[in-house]
Amino acid sequence: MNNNINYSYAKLDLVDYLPSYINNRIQAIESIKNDRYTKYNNFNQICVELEKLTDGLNNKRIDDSTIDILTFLVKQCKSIRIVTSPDYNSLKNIFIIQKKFEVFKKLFSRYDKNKFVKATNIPASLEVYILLSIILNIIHYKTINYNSFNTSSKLIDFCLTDNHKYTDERIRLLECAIGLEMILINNFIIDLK
Amino acid sequence: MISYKSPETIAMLIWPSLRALAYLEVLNEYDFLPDEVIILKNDEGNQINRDLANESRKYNYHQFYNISNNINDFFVNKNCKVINLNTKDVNDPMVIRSVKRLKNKYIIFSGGGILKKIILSLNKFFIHIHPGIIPTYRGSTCFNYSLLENYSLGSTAYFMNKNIDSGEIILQRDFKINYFIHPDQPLFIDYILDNYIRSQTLKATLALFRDNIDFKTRIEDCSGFAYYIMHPLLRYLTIEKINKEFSHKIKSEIKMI
Repeated sequence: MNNNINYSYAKLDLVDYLPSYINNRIQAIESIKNDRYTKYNNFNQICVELEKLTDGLNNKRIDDSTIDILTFLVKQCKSIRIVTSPDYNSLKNIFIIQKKFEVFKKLFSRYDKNKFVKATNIPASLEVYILLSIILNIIHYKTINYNSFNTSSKLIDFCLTDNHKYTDERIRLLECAIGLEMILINNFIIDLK
Repeated sequence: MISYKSPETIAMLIWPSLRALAYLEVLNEYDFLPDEVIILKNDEGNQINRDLANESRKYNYHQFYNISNNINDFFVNKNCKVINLNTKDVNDPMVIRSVKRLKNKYIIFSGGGILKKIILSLNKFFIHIHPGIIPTYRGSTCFNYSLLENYSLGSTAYFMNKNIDSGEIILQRDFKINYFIHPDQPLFIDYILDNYIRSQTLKATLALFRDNIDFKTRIEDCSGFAYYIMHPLLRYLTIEKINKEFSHKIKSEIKMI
């Protein structure tokens, strides 16, 4: 899976940027879903849906030397929803994974626990990218971290623009990611007023 | 803290760009044009230059720097050794050979890529101007992040090393912006604001050199995370924030504080 979007000096069309951005997101998910986009009105609604969706994800036991990235992110997604203000140390590994995505545009399914280098050549599943996007935006929601918000939007681009296999569960998860991005945009605009 | 004697002359590695133009304008203004320049090839950016010229006609970008200048014109009838290289790669072996032969120790870097270890190991001091206050704002498009987070704007002049935005800091400058960005100014942030604050920080660095003031550098702990290239959505939100902060009651400007 390769994401070829080049964000460096990408030209912005400032006329109606935001409505057009939101519309593009909705159109993209509706074309994958072949149905209407499920709109989320607040963070708690998304959390309830995430609870159901992450419970359904396959939780593999983490062995001593390697980390199954999906299992790790499912765990992180649950814990970060509960804490009011996550501290930097608890998020360190998330930021390492974030950096890996930013630098290599690709994640793998297992990483070495100590050095956090890839422990397999098997690519990470789409759920990993979606969950990482959700976690990063929850970090922004709780701690105001624009670097997280930024990578989260790139991850959504990645999930929407490449040729992925979309299951119903993946679509619902992706709707949560997009829903969270919409809430954060809305919060930003409200804060400006 | 490490002490340095101000250089009497400097060199410049030019990757032709609007940023290089902004730099040359302040160098010329300070009568401190480099006496050795290596000019690389860059055919890209013609469309940007045309679009920017259109924006400039309406919004007078010349108040920040003259975007219509020509790089080569700065060196006509000047005592400057100009080395033109047929490459756009700042790490090309031709560039490395040419940098090695420069008599100057201090070289202003005007961008065009990330310098690799081999070129940074040539016993030269590459001066880079980063649009952010190090160590808090390291990485890409940092001025957008600082504006979004706390409406701050700053820039750092430092000697480059192999790590990103982690070299010895020469000086730092803060800016205030009161400017309204209209929908037909999509290039303002990346090509005017960014280049302008960098060039003004270069100007402050040149003031040290011109007055022959010995200067001290300092090293900050840069082990924390760096910022990543900004997504267009957040760049747009930055513009919204700048516009929201704009006041008609005070002068529209970008000012060093």
